[in-house]
Amino acid sequence: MQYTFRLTLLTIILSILCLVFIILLATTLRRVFHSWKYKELDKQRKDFREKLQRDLDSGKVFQRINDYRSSSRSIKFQAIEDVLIGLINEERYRKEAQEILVKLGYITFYEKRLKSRNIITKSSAINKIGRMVSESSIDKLTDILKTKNIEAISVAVRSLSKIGSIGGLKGILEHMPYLFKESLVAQKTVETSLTNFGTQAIPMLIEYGKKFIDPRITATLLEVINTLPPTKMSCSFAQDNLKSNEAEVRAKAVKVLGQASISYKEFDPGILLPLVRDHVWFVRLQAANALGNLRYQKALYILGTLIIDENWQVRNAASLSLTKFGDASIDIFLIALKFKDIYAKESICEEIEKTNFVYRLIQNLDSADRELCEKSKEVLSIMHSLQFSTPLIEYLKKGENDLIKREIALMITPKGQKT
Amino acid sequence: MTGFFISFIVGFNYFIGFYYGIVNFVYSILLTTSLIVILRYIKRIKYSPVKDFSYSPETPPVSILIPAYNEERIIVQTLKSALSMNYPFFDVIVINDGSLDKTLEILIMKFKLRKIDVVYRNILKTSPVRGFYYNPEIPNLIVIDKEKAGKADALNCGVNASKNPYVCSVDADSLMERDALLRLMAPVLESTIPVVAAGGVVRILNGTEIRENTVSEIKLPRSSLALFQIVEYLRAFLFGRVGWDTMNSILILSGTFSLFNKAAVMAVGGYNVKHVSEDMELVIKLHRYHIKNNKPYRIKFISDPICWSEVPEKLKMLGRQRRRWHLGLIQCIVEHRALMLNPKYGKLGLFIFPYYFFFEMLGPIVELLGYIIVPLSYIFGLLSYDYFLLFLILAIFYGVFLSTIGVFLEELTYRRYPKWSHLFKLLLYGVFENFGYRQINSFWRFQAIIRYIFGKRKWEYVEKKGVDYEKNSKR
Repeated sequence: MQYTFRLTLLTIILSILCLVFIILLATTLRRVFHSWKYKELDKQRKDFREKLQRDLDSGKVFQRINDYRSSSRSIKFQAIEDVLIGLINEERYRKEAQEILVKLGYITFYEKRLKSRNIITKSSAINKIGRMVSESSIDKLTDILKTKNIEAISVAVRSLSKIGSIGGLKGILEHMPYLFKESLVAQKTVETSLTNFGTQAIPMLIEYGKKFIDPRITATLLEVINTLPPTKMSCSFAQDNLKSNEAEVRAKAVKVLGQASISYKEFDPGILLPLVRDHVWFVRLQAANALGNLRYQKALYILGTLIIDENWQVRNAASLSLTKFGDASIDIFLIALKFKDIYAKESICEEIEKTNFVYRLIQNLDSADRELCEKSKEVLSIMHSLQFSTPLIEYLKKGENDLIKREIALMITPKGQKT
Repeated sequence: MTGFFISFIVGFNYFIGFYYGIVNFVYSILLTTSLIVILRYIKRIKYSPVKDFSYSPETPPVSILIPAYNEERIIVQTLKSALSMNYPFFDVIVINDGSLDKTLEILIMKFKLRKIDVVYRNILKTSPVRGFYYNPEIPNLIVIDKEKAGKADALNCGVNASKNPYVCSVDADSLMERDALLRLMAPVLESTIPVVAAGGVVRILNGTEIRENTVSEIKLPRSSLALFQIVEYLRAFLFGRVGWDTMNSILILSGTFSLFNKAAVMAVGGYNVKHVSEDMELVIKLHRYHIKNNKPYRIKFISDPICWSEVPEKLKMLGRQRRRWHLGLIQCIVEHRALMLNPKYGKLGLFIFPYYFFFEMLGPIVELLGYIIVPLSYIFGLLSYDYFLLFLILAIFYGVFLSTIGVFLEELTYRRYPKWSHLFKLLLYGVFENFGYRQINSFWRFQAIIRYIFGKRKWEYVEKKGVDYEKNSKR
């Protein structure tokens, strides 16, 4: 019994010792192999880059195509693949590089791997096809969107967006209802990837936006459109969705209009005014942001209603927007600061300080315009009463204008005390 | 009496063997799972969508919280590193926790900050805030000056001030890699189950070269103590935490660099100011809250977002740090003892918590007693020479095996230490670690237990050498 136990212990020790040596050996050998492999890969990449470029420039690349053939397991295969993917990114070589990839069998090789059961192999192949911008593989990638595997679907969506052609875009858009039903992850991936298609995608995005009933899809498409350069089409599509029953859609439509209408003067920001009274807070939030960005004078008073909104995010956005109107907003602040809602008043004060608007108010204390001076003083007094006094105290310590300092001193000194 | 004594000693020897066997069995499982997971993860990185997240409207905003106490020498560098993150929507909140040096003054001067008033709700109760500092030209930075009450309190203050759905805690003596936050957020965006917390890898800053607020060249530190810690961190992060993560059983996310869902942090009452390991306590609370309320959740560890942090190079300071870590562990286990062997908490109550109690918390006692009793047993003839020697060799070899596997995993995956000399040095230190370093660590942890018993439960301040940014930075 004891002998067996001893032998077991000894075996364990020897096994561990062997494992340690195997690890040490594996670590060293791996490093040696990798350093050789990457050195060779770098060398071959450099050589083939020069050779391919030379052949492409001389137009003899297809005559010499056999020089570039190799086994899929070789370093040469990888080096040529890397070089060709690099050349695809250069406009003047793009077409030929894609053609060479096809002729050398890279596309077929990776398309075969799409059938693999191993999800990593499959996803890697999808990714490679995307990087090779293989338009002929669009149908095969689109087929993956019909599967259940989220990982493969996400990579396929991204690859289609890298291919960037209308065919790829169509493939994603047509599968959107299924993808949105399947998972949130796929939904997020679609939203991120669609932006890669650029401005050329806008007409198709709008076409599908009109076709689908699912408000989640419309909202996503509006969000994507918002990230792309504004066009008249985007404006009118957003305008059509301002009255949607779905708050998410309305909010995104307002966001698009807030951005796009800066470039399109014929657009009347007045259509955003009713959204300020929307019953959903994030629609009001977007409306406040949009009207502030547009500096739409007619919105001045209506924005005033938002600075006493029940939601703090809306209040902050409205206050921030109002500060963009300059002195014209002082009246609004004054009215709002006389309301009872302490939270709303604090939000206003915070934005007045954060945007440095408070220093404008302080400078107004020395303004020749007495009305402006009095109003500014009143706003500052209210801010002081709400304990937003730091800029006033700082000015007293460091400011240079004695008149302003005297005014501040009067403002912050409790009544009955001498200044 | 002698008979009882002998029986006790013999029994204890068997217990040590059994105990040691279980610990190593768990380690072996962790090792195997982490090896599989890391290798798969590395392959997945090649087609990872992380870069797309940097311009995605779906990427949620994050507040980076940097608590700072007497960090005048490094705070600017840390803050610049945080502000230069490759992330679409984020803000940085520095919480000056009553520093006695010029931390605040330097921040005000370097970032041209002005004192302002902001709406601050003290939802997680903290010590009084003295002021807020802001510059409209850097709208994503706010500095809070508050009275000193410790790191947990400072973090709670940051959580209160944050207006974003996620917060990321970062130590003031750490530098994040530019994509670190994006990578840390990846599981939040990719998971179908809500991820309430995520942690990344912490690596050792000592010895590295820094350029433009980020680590530009990795070199090994000269200090042996720092080298031991590199091996130790590789082992802890690359196989310990990755292994636990596969079971959604991570109890420790390093406070140096972790991401949390703000609503979840608020729901559990924030960081516990009475704990010296506030990060671990928060993670346990998050587990407990979600299991108790039957809410699906994930707490993730990701092995590639990297944050570089300085480690102590003096034995005395390292001792303080390790005592603090172990004290924190004891406090967490005692505070959450209701989890212990409680079937309501599933694998957390039945396996993970008991593991941490029996093997992580009590480990140092068993180990130190082992160092005393096993040789004594041999001296008094209660243990045969063969067994004594075999056990000793087994213990040392398995330790060496674990250390070398940590270095091997690093070589297999991220290869952050590119030179041959780095590799050999780390492997060598992986071997040396088992002769002295490991034992002294157990001694510090044992001290922590004694201190806890005698009521000495205060945070021990760890003074670090300080990375010489002037010298290490290249323009």
